[in-house]
Amino acid sequence: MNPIISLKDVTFTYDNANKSALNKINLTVKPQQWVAIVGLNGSGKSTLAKLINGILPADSGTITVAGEKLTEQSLWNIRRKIGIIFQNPDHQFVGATVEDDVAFGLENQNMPRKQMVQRVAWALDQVQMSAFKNKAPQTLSGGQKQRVAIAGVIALQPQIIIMDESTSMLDPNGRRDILKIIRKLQQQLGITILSITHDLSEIVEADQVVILKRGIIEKTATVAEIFADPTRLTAWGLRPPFTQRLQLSLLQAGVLLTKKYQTKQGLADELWQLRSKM
Amino acid sequence: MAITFKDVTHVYQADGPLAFEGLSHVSFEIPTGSFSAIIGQTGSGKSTLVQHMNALLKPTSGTIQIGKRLITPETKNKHLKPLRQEVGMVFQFPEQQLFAETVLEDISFGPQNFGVDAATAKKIALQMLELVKLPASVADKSPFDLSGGQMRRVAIAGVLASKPQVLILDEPTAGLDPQGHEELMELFAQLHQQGKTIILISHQMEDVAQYAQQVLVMDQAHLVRTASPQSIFNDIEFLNQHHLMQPESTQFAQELVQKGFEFAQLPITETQIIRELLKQLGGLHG
Amino acid sequence: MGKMIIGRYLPGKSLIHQLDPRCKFIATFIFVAIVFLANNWQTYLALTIFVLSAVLLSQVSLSFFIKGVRPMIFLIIFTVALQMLFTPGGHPFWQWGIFSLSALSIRNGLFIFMRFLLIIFISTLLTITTTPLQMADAVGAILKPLKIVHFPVEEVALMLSIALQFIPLLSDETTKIMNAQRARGVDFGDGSILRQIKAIIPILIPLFVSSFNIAYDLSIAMESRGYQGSENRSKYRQLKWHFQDSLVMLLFIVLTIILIILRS
Repeated sequence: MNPIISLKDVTFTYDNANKSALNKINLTVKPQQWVAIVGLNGSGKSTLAKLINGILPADSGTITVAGEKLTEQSLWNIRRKIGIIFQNPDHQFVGATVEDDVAFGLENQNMPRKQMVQRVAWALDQVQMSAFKNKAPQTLSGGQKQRVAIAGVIALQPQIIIMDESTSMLDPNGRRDILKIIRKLQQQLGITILSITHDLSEIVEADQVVILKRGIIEKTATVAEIFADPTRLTAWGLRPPFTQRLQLSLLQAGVLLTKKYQTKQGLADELWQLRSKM
Repeated sequence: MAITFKDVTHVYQADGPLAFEGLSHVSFEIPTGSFSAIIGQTGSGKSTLVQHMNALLKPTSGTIQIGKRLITPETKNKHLKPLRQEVGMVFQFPEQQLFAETVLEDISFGPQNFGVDAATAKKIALQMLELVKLPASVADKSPFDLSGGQMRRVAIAGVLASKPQVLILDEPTAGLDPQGHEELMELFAQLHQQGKTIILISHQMEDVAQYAQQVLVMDQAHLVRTASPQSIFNDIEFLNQHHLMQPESTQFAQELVQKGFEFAQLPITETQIIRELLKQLGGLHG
Repeated sequence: MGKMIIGRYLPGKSLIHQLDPRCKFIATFIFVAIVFLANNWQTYLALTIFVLSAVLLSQVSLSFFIKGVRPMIFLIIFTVALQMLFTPGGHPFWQWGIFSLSALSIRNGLFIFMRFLLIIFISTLLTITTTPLQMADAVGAILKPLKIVHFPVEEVALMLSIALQFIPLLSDETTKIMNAQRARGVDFGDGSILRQIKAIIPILIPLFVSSFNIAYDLSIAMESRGYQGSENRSKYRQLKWHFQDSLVMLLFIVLTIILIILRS
């Protein structure tokens, strides 16, 4: 299958910076996958998102999105294929009401009003926010705001959604909500998800994890592979998940557990087997 | 310094058409030197509650005793300075309050407002930099040239510089990476050990379980429960009712219970669950 | 909090609330113009009855309208006094130097007072029954002819609408920053002027930083959603001119005719 996003030797340096924010990045993302991009603050993960939709222009290298090379001419066409959910839910509303905001992207495409009305209704329904369509975005909770932002993005029927730390300012309930919706959209609409995050509950959703460190890709692997070696995680800005921490502590205390990456369920099973043998 | 709320109600925009209750008949006590956590959904009144502790908000009815000071609906805005020095407050995303030309100036802003002379304030500021684990080399930099995580530390140092006896923390680690989070929580635990009264607003139940001695649960402007973390996190029905989560250790312990494990009380921290498991699997190691 | 009222809008479902904002805007302008046609008791009575029935229809308590007068009170008293004392003609029953009072000047003073009151009431009616957003839309629509002279009408309308919705956010941020500095020992509204000016700096700078951050984030969000300026954009929100709006316009024509007939 052809990759939906591919970066070849992409380098980017901010003005006034003496070091590249991203250095010769090579990355391919397969369609309909969920890819998590992780790394410490300042590792270049947010820069990466801005390069992919051409908000920032790469110094060198090529970026291809859905078979189309990113150039000045293809810029707007490519932006149409990518939706971004930003970090601060308060800083991304243009419309004065929920439905107006969802329509903003459609207005930019000069879509006839009749079609817009249908699309807005559909998008709000997907994120279960139809009941709020006449409300001012400011009156909503953080999680609801991000749901509206998602509706604004999917109304444009993009092939890719980039989540730029979009759950980091939400409370646990809001976070859970957003991840559930994104997961549903990815499966039902076949959207490719690129999530930039250091939240564990978001990382474990991914099919593939890309670790960035000081502007270069340090490792690309599955969730299980990444968490298999908990000792290296801190350096990547990650904390081992609960099961891994527990497993490690028990191993250190001499409990005879297998060493592989495990889900909660798996570890609970293994512990019960040990217990039953007593 | 102990804090006692007696039947405190706060109504926002009391005389407008959009009046609404931010706090409704809240009573509780926070003992001197304790570590308390306030939990509850967004909008449940947590921030409104803590803003009464240094009289940024005043009760519409009821009274608040903070140390020797009594705050009533009639309390005037004057003479509140000593109170604000004794009760320090770290707001959500405190880096937004930075304004001075250098990090050092910003940190010494508080002490100088409270009457400390410039030279001493500077000395305190340097100590605070060390306390929040920032290199002395940032002292003369503009706070706006620092990374987000560093700015957070500068802002916290700016609150600590006034040497408050009570420290209120409104989601102090929101948005930080795991390492930054852990370091700050350790700093707060250290300050608690030195005798400061700590009040933490948090959505991270693991932190609440690990550090708090007393937990206040807010829901829709009401204080619905004041109890130990152990008893609150063991009450699943109560947590569900108020849309709160259990710490991961408790969640996992419950899964173990379903497999057949037995716990007298569900463990709420990692240390507890490991200790409990080692006891139950004891025959296997060594 | 996000719950503050911008402007003076009071939510409601009255007939006046439901009128097209363009209609209300134009009507207010017409009213302000035709008030000057009134020059005797009959005409002022007609206007007063008209305004009071409009207020009644809006289902908003009269006290809100009286509150609207308050900030203007000095200007009103000053103008009325000037008018009363300096009107020449008539038989003065009181005179002191260049000042004089006559039945005529008192009548004139009262008329001026009425004029103020009527204008304030009718503009309060506009702001109380129309959301700021509807106002921005109406302004955009009314300014549309200016496109011929290359005035960026859509941009201005979008700018207005965005500015309006960031007011609550910025006001929340201001409160938050003020509280944070208060907690660090700043006294607002205390001490000498110099001290008060100094106390503003710790608020202004964070507020600027915050505003720039918002603007930067918002511009990136807008671009990501395909905003390339107002050329070739369709419009989702549409103002609808109803029969009742035409009726209001007709009513104003009738009122104007009545005033012309009744004036002396």
